Amino acid sequence: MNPNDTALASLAGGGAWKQRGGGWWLAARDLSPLVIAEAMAAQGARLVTITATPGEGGAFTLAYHWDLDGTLATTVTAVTGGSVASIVEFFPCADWIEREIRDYMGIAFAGREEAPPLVLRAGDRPGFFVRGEKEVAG
Amino acid sequence: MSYTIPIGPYHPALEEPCKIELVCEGETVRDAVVHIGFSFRGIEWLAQRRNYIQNVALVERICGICSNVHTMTFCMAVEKLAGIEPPERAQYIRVVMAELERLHSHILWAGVAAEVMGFQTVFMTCFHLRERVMDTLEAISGNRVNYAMNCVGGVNRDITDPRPVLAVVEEIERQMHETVIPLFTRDRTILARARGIGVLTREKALSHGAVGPTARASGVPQDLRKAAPYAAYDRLEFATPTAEEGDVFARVVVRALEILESCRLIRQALEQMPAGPIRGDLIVAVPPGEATARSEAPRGEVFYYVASDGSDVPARVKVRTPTFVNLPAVRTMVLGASLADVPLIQASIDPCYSCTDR
Repeated sequence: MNPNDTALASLAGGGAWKQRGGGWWLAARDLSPLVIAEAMAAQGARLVTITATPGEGGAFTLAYHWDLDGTLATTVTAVTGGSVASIVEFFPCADWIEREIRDYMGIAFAGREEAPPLVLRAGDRPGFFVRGEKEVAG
Repeated sequence: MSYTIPIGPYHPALEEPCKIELVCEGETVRDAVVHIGFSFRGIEWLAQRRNYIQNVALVERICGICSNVHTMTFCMAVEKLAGIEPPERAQYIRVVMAELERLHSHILWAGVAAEVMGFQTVFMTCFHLRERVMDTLEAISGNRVNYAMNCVGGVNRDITDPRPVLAVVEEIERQMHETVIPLFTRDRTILARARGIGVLTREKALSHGAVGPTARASGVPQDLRKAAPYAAYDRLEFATPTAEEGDVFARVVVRALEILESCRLIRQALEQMPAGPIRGDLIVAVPPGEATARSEAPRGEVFYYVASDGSDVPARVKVRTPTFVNLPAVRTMVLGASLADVPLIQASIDPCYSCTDR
């Protein structure tokens, strides 16, 4: 399935989905994940997972990986300020994925129920993966 | 009046740690909270501090059962980044290894499920069969668990003589038809423990994003080997068994039928495997970029994302394992169930906590 031939083409604005590296990719840096999630839900997509990657100055990119009847589509969103909209409303299965990212990267997901840590123990500080090497090593 | 019962982190039947807190009224489960993280090893963090060759050995240690699928999927992602196409013979060998691993996993699971049901004879039968598969894996790779078969650009070892593998496949098919399937589908004890227990409806399976046999037993016919073929799967014939009931019994039946399909796939792959090399040149660094790869592990979809900055160490490695998406569905499965059925329901998704926690 080519996302450019579906209603998902509208997410690209004036651009287009590009095919590379094992699937279709869309740089949607300024698009709210909620808008993308709503479009994906309408298309019957399955959320595979979300990959969070730390950038410069506390910024992150979030790559949302979607399955469209066997086709892998990825939308990449920028996160600045340490917070991004939760998509649990459209994809309940995002619950654990978002909680794991919060635990490892320290990113907050807004608009969802407060949830306890998933992989850290209660009271541990979120952001395990982005702390300094010395701090992680203890 | 309700009360809370914790099960775990040491499970009554499974070898790995996970905790489930059950809110019960009498013997009936009214709510459940699943806790993970007891097997956390920081694999993704470590992967960004090791080179591509070291990472093949690292990701093999994510799981003690589906170790091969992790190396294969990681290598597939790196091969996409580097623009490498493994030789044809290697693609068939990857299918043989992946399906032997599925046999190992499914037969082990059937044994564990039988033990949880209190049926020791079936447990022994399944573990005898599993041992035959492990002997075969050892004969091919030299290892019983971490096979070290995959490398970026192909596989490390050839299958020079297919006859012993075919003999084991034949034995498994015979035992499945004569013993395991009749026991699992006709025995009154098993039927009483599995039918109508731990139901996950199709709607809930979709909402949880469930994958693999757990999804297929709830009527979701997803299978990456067909939907997004990799290795040599697009040249082989096989069915994707499904069931509609979504209960423990449906998960038993789907896995039993998948064992037979794996035997079919191994036989075809061994018969059709062309002569030729099994790997290309050694790769130490890959061009900058990012790639994804997915494969159908015994428990469902495994996903890898690999980003490269052009050095010999990946900039980012992300792993999403099947149990990570199937495990939250256990809460749905146990609601309204009898407390005594919880260990079996939990085991019915064939959970791998080592994979989940990474």
